[in-house]
Order: sequence, then structure tokens, then C-alpha cells
Amino acid sequence: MENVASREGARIGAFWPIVAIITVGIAMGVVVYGLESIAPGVHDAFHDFRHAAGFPCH
Amino acid sequence: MNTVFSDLRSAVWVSALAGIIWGWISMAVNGVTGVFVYESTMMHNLASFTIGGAIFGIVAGSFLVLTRKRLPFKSLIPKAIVLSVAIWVVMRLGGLALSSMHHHRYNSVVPETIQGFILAIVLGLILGIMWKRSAGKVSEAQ
Repeated sequence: MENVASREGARIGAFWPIVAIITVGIAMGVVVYGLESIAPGVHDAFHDFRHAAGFPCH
Repeated sequence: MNTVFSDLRSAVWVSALAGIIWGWISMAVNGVTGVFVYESTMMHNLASFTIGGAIFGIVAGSFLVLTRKRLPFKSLIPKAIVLSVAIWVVMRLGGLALSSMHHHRYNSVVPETIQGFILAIVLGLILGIMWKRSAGKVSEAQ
């Protein structure tokens, strides 16, 4: 019973870090490719960063 | 399971810090090389390189936690370098695909690509060193 409870606790504890990492992964895609349709303004905000890190841009 | 996920949580913080340091180094390196002439103000770039660096660091660090036991190196540093470069290459290939579809919109510049590749190695190096140090502290505490 305790094992089941600790496993459930581990799953709940793992949920938010995984959600955070997926969100950051999506943010990375937006930063790298500057997808204006997903996040307007992000393209301009990270323009210099994108060039310095070697990703294609206009 | 718990150990993996407590690592994952601490990975986010250590990796974010490593990424922020890398972001500042990238900003300085590009300023010195002049590969891309900055178009925004220094304060704007300080913010964008800090946030962008943290994002890159967290993604690389998360992959390091998930795959470190499968990578064929003993030390964390080469593992982190391989992962960081692999992530950069994948993202760069995505950029190449976008460039081939919308070449008027996404232009590839060779010096920027070379600089980005070297900076990806630097990110792995910083991440590996910081991970190694934090892992040492954890084992000392235990």
C-alpha cells in the first residue's frame, strides 16, 4: 500500500517538471525559429540571439 | 524513480544557471568576433541572451538527465558536449529545412553557423562542469 502511495507521489512530483521541460522545449523552438504566428514579438526579441547562436534568420 | 525526478528538478536550476552564463559568454563572443552586428541595444540583448541562454541550458540539461546513463562516456563533460552539439545540430537542421522552404525568409550564414557550432560546444562544457560540481556537492552531503 505504501509502495503504491509512494509511486503515486513520484508520478505527481514528476508531472510539473515534465510539463515545465516540455514548455521550455516549445519555447526553444519559438526562440530559434522566431515563429511569429505562435508568439508574436518573440521573433524581434530574440533576433540578435538567434544570429549569434548560428540559426538562420532574415 | 524519485531519485531521477529529484535530479530532474535540480537539473532545471543548475542547467538554467549554466545556460545564463553561456548566454552572456555568447553575447561577449559575438561582440568580439563581430560575426553578426548587433541591431538591438545592449540592455535588450542582455535580457534576450539571458532568457535564451536559460532556455537552451534547461533543454540541454534535461536531456542530460534523461540520457546520461546511455551515453558512451564516463565523464559528464563529454556527455554534456555531445548532447549540446546534438541538440544544436537538430535545431540547425530544422533551420535548414525552413531555409529551403522559405529561402527569402530564413537565410543561412556560414560564419554564424560556425560560431553557433562552437558555442554549442561551449554550452556543453559549461553544463558538464557545473553538473560535475553540483554532483560532487550532492555526494559530499550524502
